[in-house]
Order: sequence, then structure tokens, then C-alpha cells
Amino acid sequence: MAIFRPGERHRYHNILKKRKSKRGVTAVLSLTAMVDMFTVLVIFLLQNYSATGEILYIPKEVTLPKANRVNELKPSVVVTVSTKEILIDRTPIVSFEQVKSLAPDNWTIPELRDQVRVLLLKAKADQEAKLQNKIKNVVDQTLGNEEVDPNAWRKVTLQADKSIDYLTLKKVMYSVYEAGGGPINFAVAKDSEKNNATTETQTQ
Amino acid sequence: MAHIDTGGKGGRNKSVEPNLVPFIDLMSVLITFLLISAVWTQVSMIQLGASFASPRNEDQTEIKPPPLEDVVLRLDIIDAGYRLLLGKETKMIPKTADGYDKESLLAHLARAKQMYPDKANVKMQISDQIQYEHVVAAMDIGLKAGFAPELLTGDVK
Repeated sequence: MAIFRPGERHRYHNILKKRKSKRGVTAVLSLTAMVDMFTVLVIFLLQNYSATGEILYIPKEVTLPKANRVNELKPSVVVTVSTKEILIDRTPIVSFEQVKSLAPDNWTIPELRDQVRVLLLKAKADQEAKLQNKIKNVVDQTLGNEEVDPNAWRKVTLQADKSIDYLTLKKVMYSVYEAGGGPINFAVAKDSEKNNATTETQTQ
Repeated sequence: MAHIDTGGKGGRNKSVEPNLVPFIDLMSVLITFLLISAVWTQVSMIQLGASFASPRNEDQTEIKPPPLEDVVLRLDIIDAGYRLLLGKETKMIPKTADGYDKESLLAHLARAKQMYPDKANVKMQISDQIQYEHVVAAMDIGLKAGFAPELLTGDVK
């Protein structure tokens, strides 16, 4: 390889040749590739962006099952069933062994039922306070927003590990219903590998 | 480098370069914000139909039965596979080497939907030891075929 004398150098060789001319040499940085990369990155991140802002806390030991036909998450009381314990909104309530040790025909978990009842009453009070905000209701009606479901406070989201047996789930669901909760929705991971068309299936 | 060649009457070409610096600034801020607020696991939910102990609305005095309630459509999930009860017909869908035969179940449910388009729900009776994963998979197939899943209580005999 040739050895060059140190000094001003330009990547365009033909300009380099004109170095001795009186015109100045401007070194330019090619930004096109970087701008391309940024654009692709922004598009990808915007696609992944969750606009609803409803995020569930998933403990490490919980792996959610996958499903295609899913609806958007709505704010509700979240009951998590992991292989270690049962939690309500991050607070451990009862251990998994305790639930397992209940007789197969005894489906009520008293601790869970009482805690869910307390949280549901709180949710009900919150919702009633919101409904009393008449100005907001009038604005919502003018804007054509949907009316708030008066029973929205009852909703409970069940988030369970995929290896949990159905008997344990039945016990948890029964306790939630005993506390006055329901309908229960199951949290699932959206399966994007297959056809992920979201349905507007109306369940009754 | 991005530039617009304007030609020029003289021998030399004039080139106008758009200023990319504000664009890159904007992109950097946007990427940082989106990366911070990115959610990598998309959690959604499956809505359950009327279930075994669904609470009734106190204001609702009249209980309307869903359409075609007299037509039996029940799916049993047992260790050996799926068992679909449609009217008086019982169809056993055994497990394959890959586990539960979801494709066959979807085909059978789609056929049931063709026979009874107004039927809106499928009742599911599930063995106690069945894993939650299989319950959700069956509910998902039910929804795909156009039926809202309803869970029944009691163990399958």
C-alpha cells in the first residue's frame, strides 16, 4: 500500500487530486443510510406502541397462554394465579398449596373472596364518583363517546400460568363470583405468528 | 449525500442539500421515547360468555334465553381429546401426536355454525386436571368458529 504524507485528505479521490487548486475542500458525511435506518426503526416502534396504556404486571413464574381472537384489555381487578401463590394486583393473598389442599368439592377460598369483595366495593365507589361528575358526562355525550357500563366495576381479569389445572381455576373463579365479581376475562398473550385478526365477537 | 441537482447554466452543476439535522434530531427523540414506552409482550384478553355462576344484574327482571338454547352444543375436554356433542350426535376427536387436534375441532365447530348460524355459544365441560393452556386454546377455537365460550361446572364423566 502506498504511503502518503500526513495532511488534508478527502475521500473523493478526484477532488483530492484538485487539492492544489485554490478552491476549498469540504468533507461531507453521508447521512442517508442513517436516516433510512431511523425511519425503519420509528415505523417498527410505532407499530408496537400500545395506545391503550393498559399494562398488566406479570410475575416471572407466570407464562400466559397464547390466543388469536382477543379483545383489548380493560381496567379491572386483576387476579393472578401462579404456581407459587395467588395474587390480587401484586399483593399475595394465598399460597398455591393452600388452594390445592382444599377439598375438591369445596371451591371457596375465603381469603381471596374477602379481598376481591373489598376491591370490588372500592371500584364501585370510584365508578359512582365518576358518574356523578355531570359536566364530564355532558361533554362525553356531546362528543358522542360511549356511555359507561354501569356494571364495569364488577369486571375481573384472571391471569393464570398456562400449566395451572382447571380445578384450581374453578376454585378461583368461584371465589370471585362469590365476592360479587364477574364477568371474568382471561388474560392471554396475543399470538402474532398466525392470523391475529381481532374480533368484535359480542359475548352474552 | 442527499442533494438536489439543479443543473445550472454554467459548466458547473449547482447542488442544493436539504438540512437533515432537525430531521435526525426529531428521529432520535422519537426513537428514545418509543423505546422507553415499548411493550414487548402484548397482553390481551378472552371474554368469557355467561358462566356457571355468573351474577345476574339486579335491574334485569326478565331473563331472556339465548337463541337456539334447546340445541345442544357442548364440548368436553378430557385427557383422551375433545368430545363434541351437537344435537343428538356425539363426535370424539382423539388427541394426535402433537396433542389436541385443534384443526379437526375447528372444522367440526365451523360445520355446527353452518347448521345453526343463530346459535351463539358453546358450552364447555372440562376435566379437573386439564391445563389452563388447553382451556384457552379450546375457547380460542370456539371464538374462531363464531361461538362465545361458556364454562360449565362439574367434572366430566
